[in-house]
Amino acid sequence: MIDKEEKIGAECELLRETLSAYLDGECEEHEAQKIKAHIESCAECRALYERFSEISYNINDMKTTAPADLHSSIMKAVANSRAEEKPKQSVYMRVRKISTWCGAGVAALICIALLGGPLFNTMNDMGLTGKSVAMEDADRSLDIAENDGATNLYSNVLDDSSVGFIYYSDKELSDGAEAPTEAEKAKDCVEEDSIFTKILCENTAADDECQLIELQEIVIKDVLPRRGVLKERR
Amino acid sequence: MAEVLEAVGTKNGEVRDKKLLQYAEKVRKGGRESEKAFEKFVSICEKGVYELALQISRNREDALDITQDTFVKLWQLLSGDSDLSEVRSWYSYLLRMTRNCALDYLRKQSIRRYDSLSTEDEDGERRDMEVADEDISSNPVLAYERDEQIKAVREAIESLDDDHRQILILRETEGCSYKEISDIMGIEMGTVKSKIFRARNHVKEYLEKRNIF
Repeated sequence: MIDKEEKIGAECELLRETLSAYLDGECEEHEAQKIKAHIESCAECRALYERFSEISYNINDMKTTAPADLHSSIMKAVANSRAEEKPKQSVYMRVRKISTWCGAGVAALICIALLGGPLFNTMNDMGLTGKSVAMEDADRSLDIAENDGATNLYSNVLDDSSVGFIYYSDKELSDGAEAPTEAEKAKDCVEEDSIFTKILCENTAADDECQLIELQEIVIKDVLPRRGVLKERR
Repeated sequence: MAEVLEAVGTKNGEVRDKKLLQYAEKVRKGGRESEKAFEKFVSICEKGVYELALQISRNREDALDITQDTFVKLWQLLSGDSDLSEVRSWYSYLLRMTRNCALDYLRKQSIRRYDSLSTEDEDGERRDMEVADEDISSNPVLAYERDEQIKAVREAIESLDDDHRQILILRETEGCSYKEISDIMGIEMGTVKSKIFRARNHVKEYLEKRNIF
């Protein structure tokens, strides 16, 4: 008798941890069958199973009162985070091919830059305006491009067939050129070989076309000459 | 009944993970739909993330900060270039991120917490659990709870150490499977099984001492 009781007690001890897993449906089939049979025959284990079930229901009923503004505070935090990244995306998406939007105006600018002429005055004559863009952005972009082995960096910038960084100028608009639509802007792409432009866009604070024009002005007027690259054209 | 609930819970979990996967893929694609998809993703998971953050930090303000940090990181992850093809369950992945964010946050905050108290010594005796952080117990929400049993269960859970409490909450409130809990907590499934048992047993004994059961 005592041996039988001890045997039952030992069996209960062995099964109890599995009993908890059985409640969660985390048992193998043969274990589940064994537990089910044991519960039916053992009052103590059945009582334990019922207690665990009740605890499970109660915990499920426990409602943590989340702050009323939980959702809005999360979305605001994410929006703030995105705002810090926004310049990398928006400028990237706004770059157009020189051949599409800039035409002779940009080619003229580039030629002037190559000749080392008074670019700033020329830019003003052409009516380019825009917000101020950090010069550090352009310098940093060129550093990154060079570190990435963009040996054809400058020639890509200066080559008419590669992607430039003028979206459109004020003069072009005043000449009747139509600003691209949002859908057209969304289709903008950067040619794969234009490493500099892509890096420039990803590392600039320019947020719209005007800033982009200003960035171009800084690059051509100051950065490229300072780096001594306005010498040759491939 | 438990089996039915388990089946329903599993089904709900599968539906949830399927939705989260769809939303995650939309966010990854980018474009205008990505923001809406992310917001829907957040809506599904925010309370679970907050609950876990609260259980770890035991402070509502910290839990809110941790929750925000987690979703910011999630956004950065989804909108970045990381290879996420091996993520099976976005919900458990997110809860794991939550736990990591919470632990990082608390390390930085150097918050003093009651910790690691439910370990058993060599004789198998369980050490006494310490009382929960006052912030939770003094929460005005508790004042409105009329169900004494639920209140007692809450107190019992609060008296668990961090690991046991988190695991029990992940199982009971979030409906995570043992495998998911194993992934989130970074422990073996066998350990999950035994800790859940011990946590439940502790709650049962706590309630029996207070004549709730």
